[in-house]
Amino acid sequence: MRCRITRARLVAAWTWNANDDLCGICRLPFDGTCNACKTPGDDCPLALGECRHAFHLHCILKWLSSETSRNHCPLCRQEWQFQQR
Amino acid sequence: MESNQRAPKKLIIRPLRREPKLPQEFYQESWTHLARALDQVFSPSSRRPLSYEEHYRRVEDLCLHHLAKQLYADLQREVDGYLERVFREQLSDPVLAAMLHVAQGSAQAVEPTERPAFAPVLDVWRAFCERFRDIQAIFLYLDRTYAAESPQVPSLWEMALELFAKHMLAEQQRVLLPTLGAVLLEIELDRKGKQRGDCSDLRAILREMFAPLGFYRTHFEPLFFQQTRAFYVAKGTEFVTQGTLSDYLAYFEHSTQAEAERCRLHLEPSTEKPLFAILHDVLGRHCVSVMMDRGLESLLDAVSLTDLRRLYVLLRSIDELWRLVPRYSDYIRVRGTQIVNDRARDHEMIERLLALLDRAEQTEREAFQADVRFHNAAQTAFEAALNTRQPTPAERLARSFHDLLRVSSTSIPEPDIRRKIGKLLELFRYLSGKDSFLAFYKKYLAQRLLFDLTASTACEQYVVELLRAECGAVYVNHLVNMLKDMDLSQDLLQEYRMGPGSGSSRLPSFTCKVITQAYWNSSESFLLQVPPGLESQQRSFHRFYHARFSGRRLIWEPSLSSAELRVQFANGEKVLHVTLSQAVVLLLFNERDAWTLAELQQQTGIADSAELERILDSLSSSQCPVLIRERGAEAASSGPVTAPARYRFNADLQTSRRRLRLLDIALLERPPEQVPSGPVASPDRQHQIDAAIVRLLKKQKSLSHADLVQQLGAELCFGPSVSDVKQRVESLLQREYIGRDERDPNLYHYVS
Repeated sequence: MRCRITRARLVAAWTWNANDDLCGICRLPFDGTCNACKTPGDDCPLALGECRHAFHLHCILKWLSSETSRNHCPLCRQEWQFQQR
Repeated sequence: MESNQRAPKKLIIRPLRREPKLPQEFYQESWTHLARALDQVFSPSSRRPLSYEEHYRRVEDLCLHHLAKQLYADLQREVDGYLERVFREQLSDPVLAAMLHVAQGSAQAVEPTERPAFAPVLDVWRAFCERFRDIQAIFLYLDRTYAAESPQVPSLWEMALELFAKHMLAEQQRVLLPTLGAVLLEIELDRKGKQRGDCSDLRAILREMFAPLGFYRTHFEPLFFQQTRAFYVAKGTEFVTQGTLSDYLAYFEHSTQAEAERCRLHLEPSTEKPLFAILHDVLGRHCVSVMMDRGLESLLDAVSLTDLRRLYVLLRSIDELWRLVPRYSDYIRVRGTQIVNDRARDHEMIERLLALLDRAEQTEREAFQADVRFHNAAQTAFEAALNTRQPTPAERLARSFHDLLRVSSTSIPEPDIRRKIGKLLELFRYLSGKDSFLAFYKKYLAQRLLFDLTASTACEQYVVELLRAECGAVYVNHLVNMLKDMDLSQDLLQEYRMGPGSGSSRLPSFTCKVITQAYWNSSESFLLQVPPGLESQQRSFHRFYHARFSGRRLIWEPSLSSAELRVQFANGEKVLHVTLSQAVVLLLFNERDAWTLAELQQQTGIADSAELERILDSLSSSQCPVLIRERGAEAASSGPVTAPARYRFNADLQTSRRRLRLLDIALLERPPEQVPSGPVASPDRQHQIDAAIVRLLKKQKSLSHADLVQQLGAELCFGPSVSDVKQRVESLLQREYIGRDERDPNLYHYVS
């Protein structure tokens, strides 16, 4: 046994786990932010619906609060339910 | 009683019946006495004590009897006669000829004699003045009454001056010309440095003789200016044909001081201005620009403050500082460009640039009297020089920050580090590609944070704060979040260690940092077959993370991971700091002594063979060859079909150090990443330009092209090139974000 590993500093990067790269509402990447935010990451999280569609949390909340939404997912028109953990 | 009756006795004074008459010979008699007194005054040999009182009374009597006019005329005649005698006797032709000879002879040949050549004239003048004081004393009453009361009659002193001047000018300036020659010679000798210790004679003849006689303005000054001009023209030509700038500057300063001193000591105050005008014109204005071609650069190189201060003073005195400003800024630009483009010495670039800035700052402060024109010109020039070769200066600068902030500089006390950071920041201000700097800075910051190279978190924060102050919060956003990620990772690791999953195998000691991908420079991630002990820990952490954060994906970054290895060599055990991929490769050599590239590729799971070769190169570098690369033995004979190279473990590694850092070699050998720079704007920059254009137009509704370009400079953290802006404008026009004015093609409107 010539070499022995005594210490390891591993690095891992995290990204949002969504089926798509872009938010279906603002068309901006999930890695970035919705158009209301400045800093990506925890400050601008993702929301996943029961229908498996993902949006920026800010985007979908804004959508749901509008009259026309009737609480539907903007992509598949099913009723919007936040996915339970 | 009696007194009342008697009439008072009256005293009656009657005029003389016969008016008393002055004796006929009264004037003659008095004048004879006075003439004798004058003789006594004029001829010092027969001098006996003179009764001033007696002669004064005589003069008074004569004046009272209205004989002043005659007396004045007689006195004038007598003085004139005396002067004629004196000029004939004491300033005879041979004396004057000798003076003339000296004055006309070349000045070099003349050795300073005891007294200046004009001494005989001065002596005559002095003797005359002294004697005339006696005469003034005797004839005081005449002076004060007759001469003072009648406007056309000059005072006695003025009369004496007129007479003296007449004799000086007589016979075509028989006396004056040689005297002037001798005076000018004396001044020239002084200018040539052959100064006699006592120069009171010169002062006397100019101030006490020429000035009252009126020769100073009419005869002396024109000749003096002529001589001065000729002298300095000759001097200037001498310097222009052969002379160094430094000598010239020293001479100019010296002659300015010497002439000022001459004015103070010998000349009338009114001479000063024209004299300096000549000096500045002939020696300054006509020569300085030629002289500056001769070695201004070397003066600036050597920071020869004395000479530069002289140059500044010279140019200021002739009001031509504008000549120096562009030369100075050219110098800064040329030197700066040289440094920036000196590829062989890239590693010293930042230090040399800082040295140049230091030199410039010192020169401006101490030689150019902190003249703001020089400072501004130098700044512009320096900025132009720094940005001639993008993005290398940005990279070198980021690298300098890295070297300053990493572990190896812990020996430097913190105040010093802060001072150095301040210096680097100064350079940063000149940098136009601030976004390229940021990209490099992020790359190095990532290395420091992830490989535990940070010397002090306080210093890291300090730099981020400074950058925030320079470029705003958006600029440092990623940096701040990168630092924050480190804190979060620390907490997360704590949490993981407390949890149940981590207990399985404690060895090797394991840390994990989780970074938010959006903030960090993306690095090419590749698959890597991690050693089994590590893999189980990796998996366990993965599970923990997914349980902790749903909706997130974790990607392992082997190129940012590192490890510590203990390796047995022939002369003992060493600790190796390596990247994770290096570690994986080295661990394979536990099984065999040598591997080929293909075998290693298969074993490690690194698909990209270029990446693997890079790793192998870093392990077999000449600095620290842990592996030895062996060319296939039959490579030479079998022509194009070369046998695969083999890598062998170098058990006989010779080094005295116990810890070896292969990490740095690996990091430095990474190919340069894609960084915004160069003539073509990177996509990142294109978006920024687009956004800025639309932002500006949205704010101002319409803008001309020139205004737009100008305002873009302020809006962006880099200087966009004109062609880039044009191209982006075209693109925006096409996409109808903005519109062109129908009549004026140079005017853009915001399209809502």
